Amino acid sequence: MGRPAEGPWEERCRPMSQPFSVQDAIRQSATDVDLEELSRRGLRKVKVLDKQTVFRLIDEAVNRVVEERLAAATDKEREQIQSEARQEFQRLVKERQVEVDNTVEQKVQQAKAAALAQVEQVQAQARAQVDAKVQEQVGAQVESYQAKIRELEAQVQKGNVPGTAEVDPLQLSEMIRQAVADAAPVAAPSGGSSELAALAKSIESLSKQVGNSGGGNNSSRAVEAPSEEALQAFFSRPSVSDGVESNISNVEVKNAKANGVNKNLAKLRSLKKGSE
Amino acid sequence: MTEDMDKPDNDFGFGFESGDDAVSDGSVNVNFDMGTNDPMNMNPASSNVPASSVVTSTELGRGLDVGTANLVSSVQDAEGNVHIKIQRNAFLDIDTDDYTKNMLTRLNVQYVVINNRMVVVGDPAFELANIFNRETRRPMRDGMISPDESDALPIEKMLLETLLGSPSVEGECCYYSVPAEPIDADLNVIYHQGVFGGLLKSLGFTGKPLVEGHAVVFSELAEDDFTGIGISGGGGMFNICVSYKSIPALSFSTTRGGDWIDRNVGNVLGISASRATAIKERGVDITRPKNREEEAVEIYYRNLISYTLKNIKSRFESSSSMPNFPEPISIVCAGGTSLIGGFIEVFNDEFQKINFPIPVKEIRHAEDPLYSVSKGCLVAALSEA
Repeated sequence: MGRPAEGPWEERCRPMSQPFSVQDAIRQSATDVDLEELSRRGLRKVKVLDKQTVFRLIDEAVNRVVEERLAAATDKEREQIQSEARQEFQRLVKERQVEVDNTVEQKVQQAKAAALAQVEQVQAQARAQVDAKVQEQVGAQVESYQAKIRELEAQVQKGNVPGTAEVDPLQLSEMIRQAVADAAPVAAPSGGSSELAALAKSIESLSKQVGNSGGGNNSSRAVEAPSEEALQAFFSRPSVSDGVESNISNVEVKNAKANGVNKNLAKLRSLKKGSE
Repeated sequence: MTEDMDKPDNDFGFGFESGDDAVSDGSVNVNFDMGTNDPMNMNPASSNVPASSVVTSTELGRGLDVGTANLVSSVQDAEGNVHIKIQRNAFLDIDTDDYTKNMLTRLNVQYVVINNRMVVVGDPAFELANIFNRETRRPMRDGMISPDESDALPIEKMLLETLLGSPSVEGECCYYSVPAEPIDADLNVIYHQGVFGGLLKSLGFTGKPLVEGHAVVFSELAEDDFTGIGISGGGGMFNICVSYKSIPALSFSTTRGGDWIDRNVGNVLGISASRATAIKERGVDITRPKNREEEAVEIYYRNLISYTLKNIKSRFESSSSMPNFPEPISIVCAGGTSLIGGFIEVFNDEFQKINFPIPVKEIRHAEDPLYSVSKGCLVAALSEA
């Protein structure tokens, strides 16, 4: 440390912009001299100071200077020193905190990654369980459809088609298409359900045959909303008014009277005219 | 699938096409030899309803509310009265025997025999289910035709036959309600819409879909120039439509309705959903629950209303097509689920809790909450005559 600077206290005690490194200062101020050069100069012995001793000497020197100056300092100057010391301390604390935070953040990220991996593992297990359950349910459902198809096929073969509301090719075709539609989306995501896929295919093939026999329905519409014509055909099947056993035509439906809607109608029409 | 079916939001305010030109004044007069008390059944040859001695005439056009809980049809007579027919959209199968058949007919209970099973339809099905603590079978679920109910389509056709009868003229226009796209479920309305369009066609009508909330706007917001918010609280869904000068600016639905309340009340009380419905419909006031059962109903109603309002608010805030209303608007609540005592009070309570993004001048009940959607469909149908 050199001679104390002259001038006002503020200038002399300007806080350091960067922490002072004693080690760097020594390294920069020292000169490398070969042992041979020393020998040429007639120096046979050198005194060696270790690092700790250098630090201790510096500390002592600094403390002595500070004590002397503090003794001579005014109250205002003391306060300024305290304030600057506090600021420096806080800056160091912050630096330390950043280091700690970085470490914590790193640990949190690691923990998060581990947790995510665990969640993914659990999800995969759950998916596998659900897939198994769904396949079981689909299996049962397909079995039920198969039973229905067998029953309906038997009736179709017996010629029990026209004039009955219960069984006709259109209805049968519709049911089968429904079975295909139900089976397909479940079978697809499970990936390896070749059995279900094959079953769906065979049902679809059967659907084509039955559909064609009933009026040439296109099986490609299996998963689409039915066309207006198809629906009309379905609803044109015999119903209550065509001989199905019922008392509906003899029983009055609940009815009521309400206020008319002429006012609303007039308003709507005038609104329409106004916009034209 | 027709173009109409793909696009339920018809633009009634501006530039729609004129309807059937066959009857220029939009009405038709039919004199029956025997007469009928059924203004919906214009075909003298049809015998779906008992005959009585009334001579009537109706305007061309029908309204049909296709609800999860109820089916409601409407037609207007020449004097301007609207005739409503209503069927509970439910059925129940029971053992078949001659004694039961006779008893049911004597008790005015509708039944039909399907696949050797006797099926009781409409309100009696609901009442019988209550007596035996069974669940009714429902052709519709969550506002749409039920995929789980194999007998849904024939039963629906039968119920509609009893409600609509035959058309006055072939291809008479019948507007039917459809749900708007739900925002909280992955449900598609196209199939449902197609089924009912085809069904009406098979009965001789030209079916045209109308979004349920929009129908409420047509029937309840005429004095506001069809500007405001129509809400239809049904069994399977709540349907909401924001309309400006009759044009729907925003339509959507949520899949919680009366059935959701019934299911939950049934679960917490350990009773069937049908019995929970009966508790709900026996005259509960949700602002003053009197016992544990009514408290359960109140809790779920409040939750349902809050859920609906939050969804409406959220949609309003996220929609880019919301009009800037120059004046505060009205909110009208219709549908069977809104019939419970104290509904509007609780709706107001919950409304105050959220910071609604549009200025609202009033929240009120529809004039005929149960018939509102059907009447709105009727307005749409008559406007095309």
